[in-house]
Amino acid sequence: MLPVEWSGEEWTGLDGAPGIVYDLGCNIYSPDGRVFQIEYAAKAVENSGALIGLKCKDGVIIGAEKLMPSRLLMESSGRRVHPVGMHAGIAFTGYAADGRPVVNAARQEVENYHDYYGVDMPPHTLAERLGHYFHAYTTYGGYRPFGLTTMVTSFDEVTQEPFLHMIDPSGTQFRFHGAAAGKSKQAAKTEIEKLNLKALTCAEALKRISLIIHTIREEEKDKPFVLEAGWITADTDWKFQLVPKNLRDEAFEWGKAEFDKMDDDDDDDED
Amino acid sequence: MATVSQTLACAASGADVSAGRSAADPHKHTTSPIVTGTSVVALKYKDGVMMAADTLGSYGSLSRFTDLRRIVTTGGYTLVGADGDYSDFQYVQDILKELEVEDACVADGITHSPKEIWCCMARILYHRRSKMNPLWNNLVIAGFHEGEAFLGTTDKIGTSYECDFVATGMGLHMAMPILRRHWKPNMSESEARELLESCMRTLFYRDCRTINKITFASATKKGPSVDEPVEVSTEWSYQSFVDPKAGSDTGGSW
Amino acid sequence: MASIASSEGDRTLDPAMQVGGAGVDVASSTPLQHRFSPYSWNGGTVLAVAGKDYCVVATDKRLAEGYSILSRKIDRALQLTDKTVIACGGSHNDVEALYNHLKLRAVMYKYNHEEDLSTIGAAQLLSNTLYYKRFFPYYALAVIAGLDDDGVGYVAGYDAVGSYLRSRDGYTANGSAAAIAMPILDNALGKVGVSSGLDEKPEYSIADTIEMLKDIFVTVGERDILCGDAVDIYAITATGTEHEVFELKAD
Repeated sequence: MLPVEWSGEEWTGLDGAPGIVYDLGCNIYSPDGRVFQIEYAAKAVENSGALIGLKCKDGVIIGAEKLMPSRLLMESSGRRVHPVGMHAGIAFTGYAADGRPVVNAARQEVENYHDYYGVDMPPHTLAERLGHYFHAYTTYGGYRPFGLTTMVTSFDEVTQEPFLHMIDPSGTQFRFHGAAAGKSKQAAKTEIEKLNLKALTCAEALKRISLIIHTIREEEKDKPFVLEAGWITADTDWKFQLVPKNLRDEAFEWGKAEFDKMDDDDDDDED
Repeated sequence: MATVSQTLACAASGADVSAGRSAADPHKHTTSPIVTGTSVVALKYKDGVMMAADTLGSYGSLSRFTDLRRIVTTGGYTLVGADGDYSDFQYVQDILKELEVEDACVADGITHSPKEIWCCMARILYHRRSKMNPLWNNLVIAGFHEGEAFLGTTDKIGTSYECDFVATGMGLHMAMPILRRHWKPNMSESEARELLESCMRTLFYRDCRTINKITFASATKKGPSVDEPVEVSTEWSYQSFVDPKAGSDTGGSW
Repeated sequence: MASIASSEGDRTLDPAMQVGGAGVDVASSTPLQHRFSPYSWNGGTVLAVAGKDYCVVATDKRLAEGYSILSRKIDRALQLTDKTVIACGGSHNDVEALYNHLKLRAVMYKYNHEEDLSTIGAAQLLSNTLYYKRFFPYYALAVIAGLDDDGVGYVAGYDAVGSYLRSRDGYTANGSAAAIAMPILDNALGKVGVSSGLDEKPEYSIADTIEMLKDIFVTVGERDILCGDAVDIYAITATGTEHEVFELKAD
């Protein structure tokens, strides 16, 4: 039984408040054509750390701002970037617990495809299958959409090129030159648009991502975070690889220093 | 009248004993190999392990494929060589590839050790024989991990053991005596290679399902690697080759 | 085609091919096929002798198949607990699978009961485990040796489907050369059997028992081609189990 009543005119909550009924599940639209649960799922993403993906000159890189809610947490726990095959990896931001089944689903898809066709799953197929998976959770009563935005990077054997895809809670997926998700994604997108992606290498992009994350998280800059990243580049032989810790640490410090410099300049301007 | 092994086979597959093996039998299992590879020979030596196998894929008595690779590397440390049915070996390679992907997904830089892969293969082959649907191979698993050489083998029913040197199939009858006589611990790389070559040469002389195009492979601290096929030197001017009946009534043998 | 290919299976002669079993089905002209056997006969001889406060079990280390020796140094015995050892001849693939299962059960027992499985308990567990596969048996000819709950030597022999009996005279033989070794044991230790001339059960020391088992293995190794290379000997007493390897002829 849904906690709703029929007033004779419209459905209301038990307290008689109108309209509330349309967000109780994702199996009905609101009169103006929205599925509220999907929008709420998107809210879960907006409250979470930033995710930035860039398709560069020599590959694709995805970086994640992993917020550390406690200093007691191990740095390597609660990973946001995951390999799902030799040639593919995904990263997510949002409701972290929802990430596990998505990672497993992606791994299964990649494995089954290789079993069946003997070649690596093409990027658009992987993104499409994950899109379907997300979408299925927006159509059934008793299910809720994933509170996740997911970026997929994988290498296309046919075009010999890596791709970047992003999937949101509704299951829509697009291909991107550069993408951002999570908290302050608008600010991040503005920063990405300033980059010359055709000339940028992944190694440089790692630093840029660090800087962008440091820049856009101004209001909560005292909250600790870990920079996680994964890439597919010519240097990794077009295999997906988690970016080694020393490179991430280096990029983290560079981004922090650059941001502090800019911050000081700003302060100077004010004086 | 059903034989005991028929009864066992049917009991395992759930088929009716009285029906025996008929077209109506819902299960069609591998009861014989199709494209086959012959012996794999391997030994431990000072720096690790060395393995050899020829490149022939036989289709019955037809030399059907002449450039099949029957030794592969897997993970960071291991070689797997196979004789028997080649399609079953390709299936084994698929499993090994999946293991590699699983390791890569964990992304901690750790891959399975040779011993783990040997154990895993033995369990898979035993599992399949228990379903009366065997993978028709002898597998030789060799590797070098944490400073130690590993060499193990398993057959199609999952009989598995570790050893210092091993030869499968015809090699069990013709290479093992050579290995038993000449193998010793801590052989140098060239000694090991020479011994393997002598095994492969003898097999080429005497095993009808061999060709003189042989892949040598090794696993050392530098990791596993498989070389491109080479020929071993041969000598056909032995009197018993030239004139098999010479001197005695041995029917062409000695 | 199938007949061409199938003739390339195992390059050993399968007697079943000649005497009925497979062969050509005249009515449907089914081509001759190899029959797959999930079993192998890898040899393995196990002897065990129980004393009033000890137990000795010995088994050879040769893994054989037909006229070939596959390995000269396999382990046929499983030390299940501090005071229980199981050893099996038969098809070594099944023996290994059986051991893996028993090891797991022994560990689970310890977790659940906070003590080791007793020898008598292990004996019943082994029987149940074998009988569970009554219609696709483990080809494992087992002997269990250990100390019972009173600290007295316990020896029991099994068939492949779990039938077992604690030896009344405190000795048993199983596996490849059991038929050769058993009369020797009867003669040296038997009181109940007809081949014994003894009125009283003799009491040998543990050291003498080990020496006797070594002698028997030397003798058996001369007569059974599947037996040889070396013997694993486990001597079980209240203070624990001692293991030694005794070399045989590697011929």
